[in-house]
Amino acid sequence: MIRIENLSFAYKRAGKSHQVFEHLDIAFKPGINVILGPNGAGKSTLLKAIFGILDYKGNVFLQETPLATMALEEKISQIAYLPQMDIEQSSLTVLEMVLLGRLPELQRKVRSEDIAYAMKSMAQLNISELASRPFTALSGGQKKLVFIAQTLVRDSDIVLLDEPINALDLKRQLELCQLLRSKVQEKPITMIIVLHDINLAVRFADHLVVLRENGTLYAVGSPKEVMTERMIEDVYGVIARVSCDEDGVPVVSPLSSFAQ
Amino acid sequence: MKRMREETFAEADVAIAAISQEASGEQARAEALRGDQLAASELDSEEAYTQFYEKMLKRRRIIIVFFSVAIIAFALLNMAIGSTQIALIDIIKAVFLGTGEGNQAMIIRSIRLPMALMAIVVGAALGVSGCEIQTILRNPIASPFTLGISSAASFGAALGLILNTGIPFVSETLLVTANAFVFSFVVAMAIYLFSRQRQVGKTAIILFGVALNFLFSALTMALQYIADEDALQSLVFWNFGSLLKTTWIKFGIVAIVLLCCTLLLYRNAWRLTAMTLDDSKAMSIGVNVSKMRRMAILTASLLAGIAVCFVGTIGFVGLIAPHIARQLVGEDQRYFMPLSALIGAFVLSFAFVLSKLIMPGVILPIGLVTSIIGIPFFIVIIFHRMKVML
Repeated sequence: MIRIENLSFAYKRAGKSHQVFEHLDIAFKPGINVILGPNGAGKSTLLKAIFGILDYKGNVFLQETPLATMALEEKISQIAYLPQMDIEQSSLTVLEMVLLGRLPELQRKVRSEDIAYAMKSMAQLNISELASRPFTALSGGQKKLVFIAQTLVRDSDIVLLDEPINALDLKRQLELCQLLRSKVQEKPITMIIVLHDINLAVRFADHLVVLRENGTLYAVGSPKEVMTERMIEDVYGVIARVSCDEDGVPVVSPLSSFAQ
Repeated sequence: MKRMREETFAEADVAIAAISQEASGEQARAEALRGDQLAASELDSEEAYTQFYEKMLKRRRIIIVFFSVAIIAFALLNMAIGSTQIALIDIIKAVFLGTGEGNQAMIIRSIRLPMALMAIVVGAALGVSGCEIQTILRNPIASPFTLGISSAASFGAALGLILNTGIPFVSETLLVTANAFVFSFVVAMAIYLFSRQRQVGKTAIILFGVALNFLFSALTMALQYIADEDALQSLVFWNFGSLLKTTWIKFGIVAIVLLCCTLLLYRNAWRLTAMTLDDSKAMSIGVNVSKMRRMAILTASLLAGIAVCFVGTIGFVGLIAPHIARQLVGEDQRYFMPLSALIGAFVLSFAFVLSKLIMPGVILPIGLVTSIIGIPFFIVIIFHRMKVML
């Protein structure tokens, strides 16, 4: 469980400051929390603040402990974070890359237990056959999967994923969602995931958090409560129809933007 | 307009229906598949993975052993070749058994052995320095030279040689060396302090280093402008780089610094390996990126500074050694860093042999040789790399 209290943050660039959050309060419960919002709403910034790589005002609590007071090692042992990043080059093999996710445990000689963890993580993401390939030789989607495997290799209680499904094909997207779902069912993990795909978010999330531009909180709640035509219009500036499919899950069909 | 809207609805509905259908079908299939795979992988794969990993490491160890042997061979060759040729057996006797008489044993022990060893430690220091600078700045063209460390050393040397001034209370014989070291260290500290500032990224560090490089080159040129011919010639020779003035003490200093720095780096091998990733990614797996970068910059600059101040400017070793090492063992620092050291040592030992063979009776400055053999070699590597990337 992650609780954000009175969070304020401003980016400072070239002497100007750009306010992202002002007195933001959110609580993330165990389960799958999906953050939605338009570009520049501060979704990624919120994950950075939770992981503690921003200088923010206010407090982020892990259970009852303020995260700002935790040492890096302690934080790493509980929080896994997949940042959003440019796809990069590295001559490490996929196995080595996933192993790096266990950095605090790695000793001079890699133990077979670490390899077993890495292997399990790769198997869960169906990338076992890539193990010996150099990272550079992979496609964009495969690289993404390797980083997800690296993030999930530690079985952390808090998992922060910044746009994990970007660059993945339809099958991989669904496989990943199912994997995350099964992890949440195994134990009470708090997952906080930034997504852009509204329909996937609705199907997949236990709780939705919707941010508007400049990091104002628009709504928090179950997908059914949050996903309304009004919300889509207010937050994205898009006219959409929200209907229900046969499972009772809301389905969003975007129609036109205000500009048209 | 209304028709269009309806069409959009219809299309969207079809698409969504297709997605959810596929989702439920795929779900069942994927679950079945995953169950199978997990069961299968738990039975035989852990061993297979460990084996694969061990095999990879074994290959790396073989490469390391190969280069270690090659270095010893070239060190012996270096001791054999010179103004008088000495038979290998005499060298082995003098070095390992401590026997042998007269002038020859004396030449081996107090001149040729320290020079051959100096080639090894200086090459290794430059190799490690280049390896870490490339790693933390994630830039394949970075090297101790790009950061201005050698041009600062060169300026220090010029101060000593041309103006005969420099650090107070240093004896005249050590003036040039001490100057070179102090100025390279000043640059190292400047880069360190610059990188300590908040929000300074790797590109800014490289640009700062390049700026310092130009600054000290310009200052050296200003000194050259006012220098007399003798001083100018000494400076030119200093800039060529030479191992000929090696003494046991100089070797000892470089060796101790090399040992301390590599031990410190080796202790942080995993964290440095993670530094090959994007900053935010490295942070997310628990690396204090700015602290690691500062530590590595300081260590790498110290290594380059200490190497350059005793032997002068030796180009390209710090650039090519890590490139070759990376191609051979990848970027796991437990192997990458030591192999960069070994390849640096190998390249310099090899260049030292060449410097004595190219023109019979003349020992060419070693810095000249490393650049002349280094550049074509480097171009070949770049072409090879480009082919790999395409």
